[in-house]
Amino acid sequence: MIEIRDLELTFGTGRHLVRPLSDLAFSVGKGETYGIVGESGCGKSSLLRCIGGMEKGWTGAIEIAGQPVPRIRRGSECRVVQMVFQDPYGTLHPRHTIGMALSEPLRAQGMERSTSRIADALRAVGLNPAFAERYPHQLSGGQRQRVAIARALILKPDVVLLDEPTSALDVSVQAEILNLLADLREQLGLTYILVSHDLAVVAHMCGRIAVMQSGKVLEELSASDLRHGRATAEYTIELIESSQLKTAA
Amino acid sequence: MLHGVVENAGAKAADAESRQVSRLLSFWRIFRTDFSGMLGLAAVGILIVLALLAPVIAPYDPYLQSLQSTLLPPSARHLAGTDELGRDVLSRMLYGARTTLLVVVSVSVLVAPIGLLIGICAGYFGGWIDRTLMRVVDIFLALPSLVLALGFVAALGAGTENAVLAIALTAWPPIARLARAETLTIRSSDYIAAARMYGASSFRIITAHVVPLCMPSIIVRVTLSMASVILTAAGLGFLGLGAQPPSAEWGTMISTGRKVMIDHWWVAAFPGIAILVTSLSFNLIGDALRDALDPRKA
Repeated sequence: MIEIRDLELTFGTGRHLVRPLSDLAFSVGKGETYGIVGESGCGKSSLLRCIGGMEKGWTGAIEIAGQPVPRIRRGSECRVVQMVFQDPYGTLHPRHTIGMALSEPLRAQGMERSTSRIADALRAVGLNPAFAERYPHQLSGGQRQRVAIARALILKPDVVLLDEPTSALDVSVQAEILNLLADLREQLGLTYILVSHDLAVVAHMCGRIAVMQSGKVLEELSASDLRHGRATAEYTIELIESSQLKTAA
Repeated sequence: MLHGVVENAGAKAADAESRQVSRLLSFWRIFRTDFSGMLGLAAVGILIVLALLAPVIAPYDPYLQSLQSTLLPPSARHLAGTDELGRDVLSRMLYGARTTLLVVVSVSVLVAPIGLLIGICAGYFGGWIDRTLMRVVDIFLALPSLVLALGFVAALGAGTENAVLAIALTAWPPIARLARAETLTIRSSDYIAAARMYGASSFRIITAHVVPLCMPSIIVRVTLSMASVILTAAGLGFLGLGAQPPSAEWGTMISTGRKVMIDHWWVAAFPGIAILVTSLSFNLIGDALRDALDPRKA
């Protein structure tokens, strides 16, 4: 479903050149959840921004559903990949009702905007259709994140990028959202790329996990490798140990 | 509840309307608690009523000269005295309020959309568009506004319409600045990133996402700049480049009163007080609006 080869991202020129991503390559099958872990600044978010079409300065190749993705996307090219962001408080426009937040993507893609469609989208993420009349500040963090998921899914994308979708939520709400995402993936045959620094979340959600360090994929593990601490790279072992220390404390 | 979602477009429009009304009501509830803001609002309200009713309530014709009764001090017959041509100062002030309000309204209507458009375009598109537009703004800000307005009026000729154009020319840059700053913070937010991802056009993002969030601070800024608009208009009038005699304008009235100020204080003092009170009122309203439109309170 997703095929990435020799992906490199650079900003600036000469002495101010920075390279958040270099020599990246991996592929994700249809219906898979691919996890990406690594400390902050390792390029996880830059990678998602490249796949999502928000960065223009990359080189290499990104293919989605067999089609090479252009650097600048227009119109219907935008529909295929959608994203759920980390901060539930910044993800929705404060002056738009939930109904408007959900009808804007439909409008942008020239799809039919009916109340029943929005109601369906809300029901699919476990919200009452009456929420369409509310403003984001009347919703809890978990509810907002559900709306954000509904907004991403209303265009029926093939790939959904999840940028730490639960790290700003309470633990109980976290589990609800993760289960919702897993159910939706199964129902709709979605492909996820999940970025997180919570190894427990990644091990629970993902089949395969890439460990990233300074813009490169250090190694690729399966979920059971991660759970049993079967890592080869020293950095990965350190990462696993530090997260276990955190859960023990 | 589930079936409460109405498909009917008319009902939806009515609903959006009621939401507007409720937002307006909550805004009014906050504004009402601000004493000085209400004071300013009352003063401006009274001024508007007086200006509208000027032909009815003015005791004399503002242009009627009476050389027998020049420079009379305030009395029961002439509440604010008479000027050097025997014209009633109070009547002239009431008519002058019309000119002042007309200038304020026209300048605001001209300036707010221009400043908003330029600022948002600069902030949203960035790059060379931003650099070009902001350097133009910098150039306008570097010139003292009264001097720029003076030059403009001198080139186009004196008169109220040209004064409005000249003041508008000097009043838009701060608004563009503010709109740009607001846009920069809005642009980097996740909901704009999401809108870009689902393929919304730049035009749609600007009109539906950025403008509604910029409006409150722009309204406040325009209200606060109304005070300086009044002062600039009066300044132009005082220098003889605004409204032309014999038409009544506060700045022009002070200018003619200046010659006789020591012995006949009322000729210049009353229009001066009117300018002071009006610009102060607009400032008070602006401050109260800033508090009431703060999104953290809504």
